[in-house]
Amino acid sequence: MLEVQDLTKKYGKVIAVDQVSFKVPDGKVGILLGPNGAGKSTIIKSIAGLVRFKGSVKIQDKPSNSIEAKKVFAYVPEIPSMFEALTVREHFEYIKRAYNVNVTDDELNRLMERFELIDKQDKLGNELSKGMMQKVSICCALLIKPEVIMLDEPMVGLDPAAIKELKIVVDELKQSNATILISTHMLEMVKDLWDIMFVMSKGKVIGQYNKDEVDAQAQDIETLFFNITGGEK
Amino acid sequence: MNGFVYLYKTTLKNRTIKALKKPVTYVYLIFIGWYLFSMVFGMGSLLKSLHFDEPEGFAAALTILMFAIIPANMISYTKRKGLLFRPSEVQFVFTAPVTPKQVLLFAQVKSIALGILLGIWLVFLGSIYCHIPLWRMLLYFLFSVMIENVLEASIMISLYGNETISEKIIKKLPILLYGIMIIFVLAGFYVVSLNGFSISSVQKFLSIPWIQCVPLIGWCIAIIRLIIIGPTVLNIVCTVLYCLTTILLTLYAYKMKCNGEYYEDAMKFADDYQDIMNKKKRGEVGRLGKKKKFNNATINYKGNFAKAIFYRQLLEYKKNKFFIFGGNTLVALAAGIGIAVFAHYNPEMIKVKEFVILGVAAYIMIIFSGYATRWSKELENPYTFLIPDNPFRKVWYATMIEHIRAFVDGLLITIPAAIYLKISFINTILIIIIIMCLKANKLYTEMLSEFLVGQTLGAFGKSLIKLLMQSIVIGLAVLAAVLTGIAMGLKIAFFVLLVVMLGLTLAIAMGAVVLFDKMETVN
Repeated sequence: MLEVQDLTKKYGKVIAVDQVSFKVPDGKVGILLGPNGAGKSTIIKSIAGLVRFKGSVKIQDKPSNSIEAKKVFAYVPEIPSMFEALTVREHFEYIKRAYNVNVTDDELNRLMERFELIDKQDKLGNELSKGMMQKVSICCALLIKPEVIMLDEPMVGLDPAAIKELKIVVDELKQSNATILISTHMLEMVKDLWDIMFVMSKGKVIGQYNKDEVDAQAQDIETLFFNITGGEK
Repeated sequence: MNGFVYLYKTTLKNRTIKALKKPVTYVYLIFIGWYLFSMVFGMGSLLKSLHFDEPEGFAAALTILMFAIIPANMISYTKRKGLLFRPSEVQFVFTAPVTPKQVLLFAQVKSIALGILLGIWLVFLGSIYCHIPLWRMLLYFLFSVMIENVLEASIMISLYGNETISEKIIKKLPILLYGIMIIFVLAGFYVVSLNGFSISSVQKFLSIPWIQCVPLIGWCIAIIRLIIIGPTVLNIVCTVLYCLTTILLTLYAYKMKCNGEYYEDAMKFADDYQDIMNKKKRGEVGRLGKKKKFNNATINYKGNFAKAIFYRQLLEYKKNKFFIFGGNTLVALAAGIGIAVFAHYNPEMIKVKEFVILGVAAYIMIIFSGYATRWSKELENPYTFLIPDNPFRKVWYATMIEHIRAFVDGLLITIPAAIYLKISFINTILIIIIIMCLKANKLYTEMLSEFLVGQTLGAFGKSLIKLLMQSIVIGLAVLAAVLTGIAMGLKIAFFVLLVVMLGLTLAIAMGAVVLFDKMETVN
């Protein structure tokens, strides 16, 4: 479970995120929606522990900055950054060691095959295209076998085959009871995936919806989003 | 930590393999080898002439080094700088299941290799040239690699990772450190001026006992003196204080609360550093710190198509704090004044005064030839290629403002010298035109080198080719001038220099126009 409680983040005098609270239970996919500048990336960075904030973030009931929480938490940033001097395969080897996870070569090869990285495994980090980096970044996160995974605009830069595969992976994670939080602008891409939707505007969560309720009212995610945000894009 | 060890080993292995595959590595190795070779043979006489070829002198040199390094490092840690993080480390190291203190140590270890190399170099210098017994130098090496690094790590964690002491207090520490450095320098000047300005009085100042009493910096110097020269009551007491401080600071760093609040600053630093590295690859100058601020400005576009490039550039310059003026403007002015001052003390140069100005201008241009111009930025902009106009007009309007800047620089470098040296008005104008040609060569050879080797040799190779082409142009013009000078005198030689330089510049510019149509965008 991912639990965010009263999260507030200021940059100087500007309040980027104002007392945001939400929860994504185990086995559910939460999506964080909002127009540009709504504060989504700041929330994501706060959950990942990359920025200072007020409030609390708990991963499986443990503070997000604890080692125990980090062991079960995976993060795919919006802009992937690779180690220049490490090959794709060496990135995976690093993750295996850093998280002390037991991943066999067969498992690793299967994962690389799913994201069409087999023929790129000996390429160095600085030789990869943006899309390839994104695939490596996703695979690194999956290697951790996370209980909570957070993906920031994961579909940007991916080819259609990889987007399709990512959707399948998200569904598999959900089936294995993992908690998933996706921040995105691409409503079309996540419309079949989500369970809980958090809509943000001007640093606040202005709406929270469950898929069952929305489906029951025969509403569509896009219309709902534009209704809440007043047409902001 | 297992992951970190893997990261270090694999990075080092891959970097070495990659470097060995690049021809430029061998060029660097030759340069480094040559530098070390000349250092080995030149260092002895240099140290002797400075009277640093004895243990006392060696200790004095290290005293200066300590006063430069220790406060500077501490100041950078208080500002959460001084540790190099990359965006890849933000993604894969900051989020890994390790403590924030371990992440700090991970960053520090990256810089230890350089410290070890410096230590080896000092062992070599001390034992060979300063007549210090090898065992003492080895003991110093062990101290610098082990104890100094332990203290450095403790200070780094205590300052960089501190979340308990208020930011206000932490920010006051640099004031104290700057104060210590200023007092050290002022006291040095005072003591040295009392004894007369000489190397021996500098050495005397650096050996003054109270220097060893300065907390941390002085105590470190005391240990160095204890190891290199021998025990005194003062250096033993200060050594004990140093060791106690190391133990206490290590304990403090170990116990101190650190939840990773520094990640935010380190992440920003990583992004800024990456920007600078990207700029450096393109031959631009980057500066860490605050982002460049722009003024509000407007422009009235008096033309379409390629002319729009010129007006856009003009708008960008209007938004600059100092319009088209910058560091190169100051360099040009300083050079102009410098030539006049030099002429005052060396009246014999008046015979070839025009050539001296041109020589200095050419020298400055070659020194700064590695830096990118605004024109090289235009080559990165796809609209430079997409705008529906002919190549000649595009190249002309995209470089026009650079010619204006060259004219201003030419004025600044020429006028002060021309006034002092009483150079005629006509010759002054001609000198400025030649300087403009020199600068225009830089612009257009930039384009030629980009076209010829930009995709294959990278930034370093491109700079070398550019330098080579510029040197050939200057060489040909000078050769023609020298031959004419021998045959027909200096006045005609100067005119020939102008004609050849103008001709070559026009030829290169035409070449650039022809190639422009066949070029690809740089990025």
